[in-house]
Amino acid sequence: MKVKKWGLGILTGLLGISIGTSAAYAWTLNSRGYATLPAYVHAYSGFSPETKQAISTACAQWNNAGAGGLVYQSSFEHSLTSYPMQNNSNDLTRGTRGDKYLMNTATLVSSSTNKIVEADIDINVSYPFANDGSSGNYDIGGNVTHELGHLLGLEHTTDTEATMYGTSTMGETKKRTLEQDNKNGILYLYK
Amino acid sequence: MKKRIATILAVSTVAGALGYLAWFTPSHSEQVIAAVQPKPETQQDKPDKMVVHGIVPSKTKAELVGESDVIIRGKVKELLPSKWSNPNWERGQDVSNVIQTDILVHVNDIFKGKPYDKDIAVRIDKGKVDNMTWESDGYPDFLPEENVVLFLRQDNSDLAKPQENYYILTGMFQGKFSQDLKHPEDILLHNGKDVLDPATMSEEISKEGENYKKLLKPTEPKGNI
Repeated sequence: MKVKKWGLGILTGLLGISIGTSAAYAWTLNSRGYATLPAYVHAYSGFSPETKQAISTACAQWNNAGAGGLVYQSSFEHSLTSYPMQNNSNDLTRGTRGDKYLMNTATLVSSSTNKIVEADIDINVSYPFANDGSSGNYDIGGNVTHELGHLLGLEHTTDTEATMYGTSTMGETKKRTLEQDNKNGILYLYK
Repeated sequence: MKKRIATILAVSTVAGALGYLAWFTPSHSEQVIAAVQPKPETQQDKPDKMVVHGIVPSKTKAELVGESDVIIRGKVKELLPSKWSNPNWERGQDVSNVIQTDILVHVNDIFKGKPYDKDIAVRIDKGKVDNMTWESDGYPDFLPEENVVLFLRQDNSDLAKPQENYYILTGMFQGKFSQDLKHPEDILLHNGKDVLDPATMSEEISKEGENYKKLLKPTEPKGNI
């Protein structure tokens, strides 16, 4: 009986440690962060006003994470349709990329500093996207917020509720708002 | 008794969290980002690595089967030299610059469609040209002599080259099933998300093909977002 109690106690302890550690740390890094803060992102001029607003809101999420102003939407837009472009400008584009990423960020990384010197974000309109959170579409704002996390140096997290979780479903809008896990990662990099 | 267990659980959860965070104090945290440590400042600060991260749309087995033109079992023969995606295979100005690698696979069994040859090319967006490395978390790695089951389709992207014979993976990494090399005793095939049993694979693919026909068709993309 005593052995059983001890066994149960040890198992409960191990379970607790497991829960504690997983809750404490889930974020990971893809680099040592963006080289020169703040980063400015340039939207495609053909984006709808709603999409441009969603980009601006996504930037604000990261700027309110507690590490100061990190990323802003530039008033200068571009008309590029090719992606990615290595032109010293962080461009947000859209295109029919077929059976590839839903949305992705191509980060150009310096080998000597391991910092990101340029990052282009692309929305693959081979998939249905919308700004209204409708069930048959992927959410633009939430997924742009996710991609801006990559631009700032974060990798995917194991926290399924966090913005940096690596998959997205149609109608999901929870990526629009940062969870503590995302903030912890960004504070580690920039605070 | 229940109160005691709850107390142990609470105390150990806090202890686990504190211990883990303590381990990640700045001195230890350097280990965590060992992979992203800067190299010594012995070379010019020149970007030479493109790292692509993104969101891969999750596909069920039924979607993998239904959206594939060809499903085969085969063996990797060779990884061909990587190239830039541009028409002249060179890095260009004012164009999309993507490094791609063709994987040459010998076809042993066919479960769907008709491959264009006994040896086929599978194109992935990763590789290395000169001093530029292209990494992408959405594509799997391939090894020579590796046995694979591949879900393949024609390239439907803006980088497609219809004049060339090759396929792309359906659902990126989800389109490649292979044995877990760390566990050779495990005979099941894995794609990082799902498993296939080689013994029942043929029947399963047929069944999933039927299931795909019953699925609701997704919303038509608008494009003009």
